[in-house]
Amino acid sequence: MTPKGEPRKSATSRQALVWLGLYLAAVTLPLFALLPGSESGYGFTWDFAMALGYAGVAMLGVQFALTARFKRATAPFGIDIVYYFHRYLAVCALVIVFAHYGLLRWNVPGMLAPVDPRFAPAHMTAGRIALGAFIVLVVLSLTRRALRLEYDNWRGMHAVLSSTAFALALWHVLGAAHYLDTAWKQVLWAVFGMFWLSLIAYVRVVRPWRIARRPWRVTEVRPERGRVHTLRLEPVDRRPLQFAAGQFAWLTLRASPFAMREHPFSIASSAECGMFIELSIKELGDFTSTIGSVKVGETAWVDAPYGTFGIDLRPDASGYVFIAGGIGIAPVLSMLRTLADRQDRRPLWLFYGNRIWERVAFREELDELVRRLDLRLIHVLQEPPAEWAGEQGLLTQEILSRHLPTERSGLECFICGPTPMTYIAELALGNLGMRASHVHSEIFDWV
Amino acid sequence: MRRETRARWLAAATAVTVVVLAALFAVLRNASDAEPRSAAATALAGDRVSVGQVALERLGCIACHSVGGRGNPTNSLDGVGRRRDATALREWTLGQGTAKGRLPPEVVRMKARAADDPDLPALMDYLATLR
Repeated sequence: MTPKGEPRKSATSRQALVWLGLYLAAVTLPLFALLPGSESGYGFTWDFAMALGYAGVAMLGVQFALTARFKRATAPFGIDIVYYFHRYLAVCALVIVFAHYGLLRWNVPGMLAPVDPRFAPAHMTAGRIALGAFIVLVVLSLTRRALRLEYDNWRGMHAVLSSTAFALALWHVLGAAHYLDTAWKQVLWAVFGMFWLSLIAYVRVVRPWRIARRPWRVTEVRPERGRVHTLRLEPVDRRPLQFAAGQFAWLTLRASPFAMREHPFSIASSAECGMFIELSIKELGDFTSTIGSVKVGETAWVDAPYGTFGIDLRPDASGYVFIAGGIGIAPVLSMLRTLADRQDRRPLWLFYGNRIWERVAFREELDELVRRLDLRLIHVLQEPPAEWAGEQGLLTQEILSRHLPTERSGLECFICGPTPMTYIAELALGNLGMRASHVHSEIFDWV
Repeated sequence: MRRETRARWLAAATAVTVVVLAALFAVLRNASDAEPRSAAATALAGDRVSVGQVALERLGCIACHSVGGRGNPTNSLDGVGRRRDATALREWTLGQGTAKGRLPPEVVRMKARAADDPDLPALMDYLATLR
């Protein structure tokens, strides 16, 4: 990054630290608020177990905020990182809640009350069910692909289970009421719990309602090479969408915004024109397998823009390197189209990996972009035709090295493609001396 | 570092911080052990019997027992002061003597913890009042 870019980077790091601090405050301040005025402790293990329980429930609450797509909070990290953070933190929170249960079982087994709900206080049974639901939630989320659980079904189940588990956990906390020995402490935790329940209501009701108020229309469905279809969408109210090249949108088709059947897709059109957006979608399975049957005139619901992957966050680069595999070309296409519309003359490199030449999506338009931009287009084919003279096989460090200039310090690299390709490209660029802060990758499968 | 790996480390570091803060909470709550104030503090709410009543809940007895409908109804302590004399009450409270052989080992362990509790005499007085 050029010196001009450093303040931006440090500002982003500062913002990231502030948000992490806010996270820790949200999880631990409601716990530490229980300290003043309490009696002295009942032994370290007992109090540690209780503290873990309170912190675990608070972590569960904040989980809802992490996937609520608050743009300001996700911007310093990138929404894909935040979703991964949500996923890994769920595992950590499960371990913490389980430690709460395990320590009490070891330290004061009688306190846990019988498992049989007929003889146990309701709040203890609520706690047990919440723990069970939480385990199911985490296991299903981590094994969704292995179990071949359809995304929309999983998401519906996830929403119901997580909301139920949290409400039960809150009941358990307020019912067990350890440390909640004064009215204000009870009110504090009741309000704290209600805040997170309100957030669930916001995510499940208020935001879909706002999306529903702004319908979009499918104005074009264009088949492309390689089982890709481009949908052009226009806002019915004609208000343009401001987005940055490389960002993505959540799309709902043939379902209500309240049905939680939305899917994220990179915007492929130029950011210079917000009167419409184009989403280029490959038929891969689940929702995308029906994309070719979408008709002009259908209503669509769009929640956008999101993401921090793109040239506009690194505007000071001396040039850009793009590495795309298959449909990973979509956000790259948006960036190239935008640069062309801006008549940008900086040097550009595009390494575009595909299996078969006939299925290289947008290859004709890329040739046209080569004429409009200072773009070096390097196709890499796994199964090239007999007469092919270009690069072949999988993307390698040698291929990158052959085409990139020796002076690379001012370049910014953007990688979007299948996970193995992304790993290889990141490693290769590192070996070629590119600083990690100049290499940006978009993760495909974070939902 | 890959973005996914970065998220993993970020989550792990955050979780470790939460656990450390939970431990700090436990340390702070037990820091005043040098000047035991359990009985004194709870006594603010009433007499010695009310201290015992608070101790019954604090020690987790109500997970298995109930008094006046509060707690686990399977083992009601209502009338226990009439049914047992002071020695028997103490043995059943601490899992000692004849009670020890009739209780599951984990319950005996749990009850044994109450032996060192500063509010034990108050608890015994309270149980004796349940007639």
